[in-house]
Amino acid sequence: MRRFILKRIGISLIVIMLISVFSFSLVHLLPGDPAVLALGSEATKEQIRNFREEFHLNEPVVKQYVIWIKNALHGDFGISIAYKRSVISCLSERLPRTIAIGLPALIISSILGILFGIISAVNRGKFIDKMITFIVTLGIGTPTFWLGMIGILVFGLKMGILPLSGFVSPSENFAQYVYYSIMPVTVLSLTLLASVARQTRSNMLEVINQDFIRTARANGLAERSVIYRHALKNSLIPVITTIGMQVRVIVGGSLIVEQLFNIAGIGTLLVSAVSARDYMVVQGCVFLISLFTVACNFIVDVLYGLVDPRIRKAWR
Amino acid sequence: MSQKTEKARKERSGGEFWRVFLGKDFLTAICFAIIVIFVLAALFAPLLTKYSPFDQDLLMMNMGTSPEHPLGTDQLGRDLLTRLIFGARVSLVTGLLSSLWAALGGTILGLVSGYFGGAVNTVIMRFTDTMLSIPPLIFTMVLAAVVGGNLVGISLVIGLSILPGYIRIVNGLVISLRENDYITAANLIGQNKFIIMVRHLLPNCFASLIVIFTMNLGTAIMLESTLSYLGVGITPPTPAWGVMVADGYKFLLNVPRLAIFPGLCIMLIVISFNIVGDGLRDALDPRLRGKL
Repeated sequence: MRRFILKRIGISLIVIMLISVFSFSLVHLLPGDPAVLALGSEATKEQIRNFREEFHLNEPVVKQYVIWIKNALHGDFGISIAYKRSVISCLSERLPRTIAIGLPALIISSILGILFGIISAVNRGKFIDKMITFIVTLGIGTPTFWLGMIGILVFGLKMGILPLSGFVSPSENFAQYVYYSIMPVTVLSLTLLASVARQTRSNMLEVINQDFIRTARANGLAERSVIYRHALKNSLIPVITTIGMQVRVIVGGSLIVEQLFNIAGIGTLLVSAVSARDYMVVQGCVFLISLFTVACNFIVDVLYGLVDPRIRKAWR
Repeated sequence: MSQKTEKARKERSGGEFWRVFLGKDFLTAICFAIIVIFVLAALFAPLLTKYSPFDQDLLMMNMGTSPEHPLGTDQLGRDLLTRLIFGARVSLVTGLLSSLWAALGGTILGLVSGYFGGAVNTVIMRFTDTMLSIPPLIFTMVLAAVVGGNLVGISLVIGLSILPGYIRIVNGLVISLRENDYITAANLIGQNKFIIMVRHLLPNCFASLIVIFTMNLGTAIMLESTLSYLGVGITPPTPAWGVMVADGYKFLLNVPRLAIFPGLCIMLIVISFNIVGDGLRDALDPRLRGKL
């Protein structure tokens, strides 16, 4: 087990290093001179030179990377040109809002997704399976931004029962938070729910076809016990990995949902930073978000190894 | 005689393919038809309408349905139906190009890493791990800003983002294939490694490749429209469905169809590609069920 964890840590570290290189090189890939973008086109040559000096833009690229990663390890990702404050303070101010929408969406979609997947697999080929499969297909194929817009049109503009946009912090007023976040959370959950349900269904079907389930049935075990005690446990393990991977989808989805419902979270920050070429914010956001997904995957992998000895063996 | 039976067998297996593919349930057939309709509309776009997608008619802004404009006009007086038809071109071409880049890169890298294994495999797999850790939407959005709003650039970026999935699948296939006796035999007689990969391993991946390609078309179209919606994809006035939804959003209360119709098109085509992909999988190689 220790060897397995150490190996996973090693791989995660390599991935983190590659991600840092990618995030860093974005500055040099994005069109436009960062100094000119930051100071405006009326800046004097003197000012531009000072700016370059301050942010080490005149150093060789490799040295710039070393300086950047050193500062990043100390929690310093530079300053936002648009907001004139440190990137980390911009991020920490917005992070709670993104979590307040993303976390409930992740929980709701995981629970409902697994439930739908099981119902669908157990009733394979019956009407209810076909219904769920159809809804899942719809969920995967519907663009999140369009779904949210239809929600706004129907529940906000036509029926007037839900707010069109905005956000209230749960610590401020919980009832208002629920009222404002019903629509964004629902929209964000749906795509994820669909993929979790699909994954659960196919895993469950695979397990149901295995020998030990046939043996359990042949031994005269009640169908309920076969499904819930034997099949479910084995089919849930890969689903946990799916949920871990879906963190990426939630992050991407928050981008759209925040934009649509006008929530000042990490997503809106990143979208505006990309269009304003606020390059240090882009660097910091991409790096930290990716770090977060790496961490999630690491935790999921280790849990996976803990639960299932076969996985540990495969890594030896 | 043997030639005859061979021919009959081939015909039967061809018929078998179509029977399983389209006959399984009518949903696959409908989705296949939808794709054909969209492709034909995209191909013959200029013949289907007398308007151009760029012609503005400011006296006819946001007009409702009329015999001249079956779906009405948009905020600049452009014919909505025309823009939807030309939008199919943008979506299909971007989807096709991105899947093509991903298929090329993914097949080559997957073959090489799977066949050689060892250090080559490790390096390629760590790169795919890294790309999979960056949320696809964020990856494409940031890089889309780098390449600008042109179609080829966007398709390259989307292709790059679906590449890791491709590499993983091909890699997994090749790893299981290379244990077969015929590959060992080819290795033993000292066959050229390139020939082993291209003539012996690649053809056995074709069924899976066709299925992933079809499914990725849907994914790519979805990504393109999302990027266009966020304003970093295809730049206006090119009629991209995502841009049309974003523009229509401003008139959501009074003229909801401006946003609804392009969204419906995206949904129809993405779902169709997914379902047809499923159907192809069952028809080409049912053993892939659950894997793809």
